[in-house]
Amino acid sequence: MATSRLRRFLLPDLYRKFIFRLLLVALTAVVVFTQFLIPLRIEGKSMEPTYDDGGFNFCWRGRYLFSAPERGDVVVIRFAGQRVMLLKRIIGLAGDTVEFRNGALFVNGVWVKEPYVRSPSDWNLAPRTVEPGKVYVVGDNRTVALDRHHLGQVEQERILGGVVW
Amino acid sequence: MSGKIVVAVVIVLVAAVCTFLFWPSDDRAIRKQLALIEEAGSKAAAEQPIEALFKARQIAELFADPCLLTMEAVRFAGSYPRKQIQDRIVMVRAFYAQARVSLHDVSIEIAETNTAAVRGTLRLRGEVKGEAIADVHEIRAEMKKIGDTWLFTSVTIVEVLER
Repeated sequence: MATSRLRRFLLPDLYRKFIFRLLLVALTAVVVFTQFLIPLRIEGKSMEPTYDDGGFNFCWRGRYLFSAPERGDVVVIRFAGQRVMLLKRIIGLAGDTVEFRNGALFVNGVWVKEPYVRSPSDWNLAPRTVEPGKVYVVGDNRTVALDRHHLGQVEQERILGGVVW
Repeated sequence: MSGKIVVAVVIVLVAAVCTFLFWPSDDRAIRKQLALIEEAGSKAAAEQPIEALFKARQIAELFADPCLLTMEAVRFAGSYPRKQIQDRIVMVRAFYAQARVSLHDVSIEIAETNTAAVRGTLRLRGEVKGEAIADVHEIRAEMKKIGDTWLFTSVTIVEVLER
């Protein structure tokens, strides 16, 4: 009895309804995981310790459909497409002036506490104002030398979404 | 009789798929050139100097002479002869102990005038002095069909993050 049930589960009869259901599930999975929840394999250490090298996450594309990005959000930034993307944290919005003094972040001249940064940093970055339609992003790992870290203002339309966790 | 029809249909389908996959086209010719960048741009740890020179030449031959190179991040644009591009490629490759170049999200728009606009993401993973280095850039390029070969006439490294 149990064997036949297992056999039916593993090798079901290919009747029309089953094939239709199978196709529907496959199609739904393709649409969901290419348009709404894009799987991310994290490579690199620029977001450590929040997101480790080799970690896994999803990019939720609906994140900014009804709300604008905010300071502190971790966002997924696209290049030419969806195969290679950047994971960064927003530290400044359009019109903000961002600056690093001996590793400390200042936004509009006010020191910003960053609990997600766990390592000491000696970054110094002169104040710069974020242009309209852009946000300023940076990684959480500040142990990397400033000139080798990908940071800067990016067009808001390049933000594909936010991470799920 | 019906068996023969099924076999005929399968043969026609296979032929159609093969034609679709292997029929020479401009798109395919451009992708072949891009694949050469990935192949010749990558470097094995045990690469010999003569091989490095050969690979740099292979890449340089993909560029028109001269070719306009633009780096938005440093507000730089200049027209370079092929020889100079080759020398620069040799220098950059020598910097890395080993490297892997890959192109992703490539889109190609071919115009009727034997020109094409190419866009993609260039990813470079390498090792310098025992330390792993990774870099990503968005590339925008224009290609022109000169003779039977598609060559880069303009390459721009797009500035995605502006410091």
